[in-house]
Amino acid sequence: MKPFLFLNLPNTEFNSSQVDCNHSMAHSSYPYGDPIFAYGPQAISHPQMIPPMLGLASTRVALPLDLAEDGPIYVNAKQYHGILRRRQSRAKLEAQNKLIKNRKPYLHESRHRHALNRVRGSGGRFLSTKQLAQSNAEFVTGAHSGSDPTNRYQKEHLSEVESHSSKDGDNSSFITTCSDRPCLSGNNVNFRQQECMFLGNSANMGGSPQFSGGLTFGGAKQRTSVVR
Amino acid sequence: MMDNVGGSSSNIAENSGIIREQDRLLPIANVGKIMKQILPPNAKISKESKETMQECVSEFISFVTSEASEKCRKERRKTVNGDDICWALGSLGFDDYAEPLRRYLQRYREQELDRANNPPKRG
Repeated sequence: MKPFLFLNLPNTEFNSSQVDCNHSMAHSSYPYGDPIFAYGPQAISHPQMIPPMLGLASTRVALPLDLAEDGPIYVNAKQYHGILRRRQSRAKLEAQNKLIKNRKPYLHESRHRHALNRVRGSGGRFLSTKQLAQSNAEFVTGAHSGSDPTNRYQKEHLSEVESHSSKDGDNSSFITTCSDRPCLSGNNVNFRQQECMFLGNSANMGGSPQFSGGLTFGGAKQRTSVVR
Repeated sequence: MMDNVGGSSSNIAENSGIIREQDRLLPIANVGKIMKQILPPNAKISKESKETMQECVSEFISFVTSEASEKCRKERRKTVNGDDICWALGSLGFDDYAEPLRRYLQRYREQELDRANNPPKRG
């Protein structure tokens, strides 16, 4: 067993828990390198921007070496047991194959297909109802009678589009990622009939679905634009 | 791409025991909005930044909650309340955050008490 210095742990109960941690650590294996989350106390005025960093230099203890290839990683002594506990939890979930390895570009197939059918304007933004009416009016009165804006814009492969569906005081945003995978043939969803419920300012954390994408397809460079 | 979720139905994922992405992580739009609050109005946040912050804050929540849950387990209590979270922050060395959170919790409880004493009248 590796001896560790307990600087701020006078309670002997922690010693027994530490022994238990080490004992169970010997039997668990980490096929994938877990990220080392070391939370240092940071006196900044905005607590939501908490950068993960190594702990205080005066009270650091060494984590086990099975994860760090370039030597021991020192963390805050207060967080040592918590980090080991979280490692075991993640290892257990990994063993049960309950963690999703790859993040999907979208969460719901029907919403993805609906987004593919929506009309897009210049720059790939979705057109709102007003803009669509203006666009239709322009195409009816214009000389370009042979071009179809829907078919033209659907052929474009865009990595990420973040736009507002309505500018009339609606702060909801719709985030989706168009992938290179061919769209499933079948339901042609008309976006006028099936309107998605977008998340407003007051977010329902309980059961509101969110679109999130992680992979970049076809080598296309990601273009992220934030519309306030 | 290896897809753990069969088809496009989210019910299949729930039945097979796979923890869905939306159950493990905070919504990425909300994370982006919180990050935007601290930045200048014309700043842009990349998708990669939001996802990295999404992983960090979700792991931090599990980290603090695990510490609070361990305290409740030792005291043979089943419910983790706000005091346990504040204690866990202090126990992990985040004293600068524990004190503002205690004040927030106190004010929150006062509001809850006012709402309980003065229920909205039904017309």
